[in-house]
Amino acid sequence: MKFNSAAFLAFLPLVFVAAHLLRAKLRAQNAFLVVASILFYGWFDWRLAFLLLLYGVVAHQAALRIDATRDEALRRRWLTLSVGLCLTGLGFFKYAGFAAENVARGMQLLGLRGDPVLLEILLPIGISFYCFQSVAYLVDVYRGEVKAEPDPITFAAFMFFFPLLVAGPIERARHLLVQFQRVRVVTADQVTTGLWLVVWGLFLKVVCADTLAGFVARVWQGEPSIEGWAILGGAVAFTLQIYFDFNAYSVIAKGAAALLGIELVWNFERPYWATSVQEFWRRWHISLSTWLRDYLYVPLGGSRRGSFRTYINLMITMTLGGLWHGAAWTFVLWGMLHGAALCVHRLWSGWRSAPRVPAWLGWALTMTVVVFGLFIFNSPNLDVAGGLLFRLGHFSFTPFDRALWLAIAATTAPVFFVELLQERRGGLLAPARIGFVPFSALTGLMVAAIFVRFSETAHDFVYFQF
Amino acid sequence: MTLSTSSSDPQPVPAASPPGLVEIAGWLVRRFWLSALIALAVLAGLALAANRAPGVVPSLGPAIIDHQMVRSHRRTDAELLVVGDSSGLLGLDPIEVESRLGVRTEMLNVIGPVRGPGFVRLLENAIAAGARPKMVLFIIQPFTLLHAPGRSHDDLMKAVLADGWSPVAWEEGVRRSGDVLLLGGLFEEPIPGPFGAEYGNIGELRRALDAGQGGLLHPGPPLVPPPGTHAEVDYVIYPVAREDLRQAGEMLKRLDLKEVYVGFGATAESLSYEKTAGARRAMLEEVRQLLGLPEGHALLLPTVLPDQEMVDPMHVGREGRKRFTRDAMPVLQRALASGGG
Repeated sequence: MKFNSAAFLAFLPLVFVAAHLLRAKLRAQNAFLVVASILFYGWFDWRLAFLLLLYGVVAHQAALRIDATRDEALRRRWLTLSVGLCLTGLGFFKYAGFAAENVARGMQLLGLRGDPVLLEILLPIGISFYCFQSVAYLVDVYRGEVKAEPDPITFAAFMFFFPLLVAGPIERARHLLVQFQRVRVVTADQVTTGLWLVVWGLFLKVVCADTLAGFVARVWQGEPSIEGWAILGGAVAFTLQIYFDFNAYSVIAKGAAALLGIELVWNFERPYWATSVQEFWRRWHISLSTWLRDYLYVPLGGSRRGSFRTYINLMITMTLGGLWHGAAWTFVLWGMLHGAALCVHRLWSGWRSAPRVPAWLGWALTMTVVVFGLFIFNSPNLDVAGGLLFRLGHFSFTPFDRALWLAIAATTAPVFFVELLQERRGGLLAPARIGFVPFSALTGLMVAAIFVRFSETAHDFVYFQF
Repeated sequence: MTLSTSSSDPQPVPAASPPGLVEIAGWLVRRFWLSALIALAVLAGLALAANRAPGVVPSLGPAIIDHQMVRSHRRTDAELLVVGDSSGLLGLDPIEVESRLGVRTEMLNVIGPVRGPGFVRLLENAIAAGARPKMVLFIIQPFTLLHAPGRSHDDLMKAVLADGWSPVAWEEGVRRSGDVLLLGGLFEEPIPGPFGAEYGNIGELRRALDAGQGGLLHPGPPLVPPPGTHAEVDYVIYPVAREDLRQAGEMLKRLDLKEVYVGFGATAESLSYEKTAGARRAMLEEVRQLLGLPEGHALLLPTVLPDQEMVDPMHVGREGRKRFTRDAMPVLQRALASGGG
């Protein structure tokens, strides 16, 4: 079920009412949330619900076994087996086709007959997210940071919680699981800011992201009239679109969860205000970047094994982070670009006599890396990216360019206004805490704009494909 | 419990007992009643404006018609006024005509489904707004006269004749007027197809119509005709089209304009081979008569263009537009000299 669908706009209030009717019965409320979550996920394709259940069973049972023994070798074996199963599932659905295609290409390069085995594999929506959440849970239990949850209903409520099931944020058990283990008591502030977040998220998606999506699609179709300004505008538009879109999902998820008395982590904290690539990664897709830090970068040695090894670890982490998005060389290149930028930043920061970079220059350099990286990221392959870059040199301002740049300005303005409030008034919820009348005007206009632009046939969330 | 403002905030601590549903509903109402009221007021305003405000149509064809309707009400000092269907809209470049012939030129062409009476209605609007053209030129695609007009397009002609659009369902109206009146047209997505790649969205298409003095370029790729031979075309005017032209002629008579001419838009080579040239000329004469125009007022504009200069069998592309305009110039010059100018 998509957040930007009429089905969800009916589903959420029903779940809200039913969950609050069951407010005093924790187990019943958790069970209800499990059923609602499976219905939410099965709405996309009911067969996928079985895969989700399988992941849940593997994580739940393996964690119990890890927790039940002091035998380190056995614990490690259970961890390896369960994490291996989770990653194998992800690898099969996400990378089998890519691997087969590249093996075939390699064979052709060697002059051998290499017919690619065409694997038409349906990518189960959200698998990257619930796979990583399972892995984090298993590792945390193994590390002794959380206790394995014995109750399957409590565990399932944590594992399958519908707001974050499809596109995150990737939650940790020590933050989310504990909230399903006790009676949830919502406050007025939590419910009202929750509803505001749903409205703000829908505005971001329906009004801002989807407006740009049409232009971005046109630019990447590469029609002959698409040149200089359009390609440049397309790169900027995609940079904004993916942020508005993914942030929208995270914000709606956070809002929907808050309505049910559950607090989710923030996934974005004004990433385009960052003045360095390192800061960008502290603000962008926070739940993935911290996951990569805790479960990949740190186990690789982090920065504990000398400078050279640190740079290698950064490159490995970011390249795999790129590959997590999908099986394509463009994602790999995107990850490597960010890895290299992080290395350069680290090198520069560690250089004592390096001149201080002014904030505006840091911001400009960061955004250059981000925009160029996302330009590659959004290209289906390197040929398309190269073709568009080749045409970038031809500048003539067409009506299409005007419409595109006006759309960029128009969609950025409200987001900038809200983020300015967040920046100046200290906090991501600041816009929900302004005076009653300005808050009502802002929210009322947003609701009207959502109604105007709402369409059942609108663009899917970008991160559904990952 | 309060929501944190940072991802690293500590866990909230639960209070005593969960609030009831009525209490929660009370919180929501207290916080959002004014927001809901404002949203409803805005939506109601948009619904009311939907069927009155110009410029609230959703797609390419209606947007062209809508904007030409708006333009037809603007006072113009055009000496040459061009009306008719999309074969003229996309075929003749008014800016080029003006610069070559030195006569101020404006175009009010729309699309075929608006039909004869609709074309004349736009002319009526222009005259009522103060236009005093020395010459009026109808450009019509002959192929549109050979078949029954599609019923699904009836509302387009009705809109032009009524000088406004039929009321739409309120949700649709809110969406249409909301895009223009609430969001300023800035949040419009690109038009599908090649027009989107050239003009972006509807707002820019309107600007392009203004900048092009009512003419537009079809940015599509060259026509690739299906393999095979030239099509056999029977140039016989369909009864409904005949009636439309007769009605248009009646309307023209009331306008009492002396120098009104008619010509055909270009057709792709693969559809109109030389053998049919005579039949086309005969049909043009018949159209002239149905419109009630004097003898000699049927202009032989360029009729057949190579496929690679067309984007479809009835519309010219970038190169075709240049050629059609260039080749039409001497014909227009002669007409202007013989009375129109």
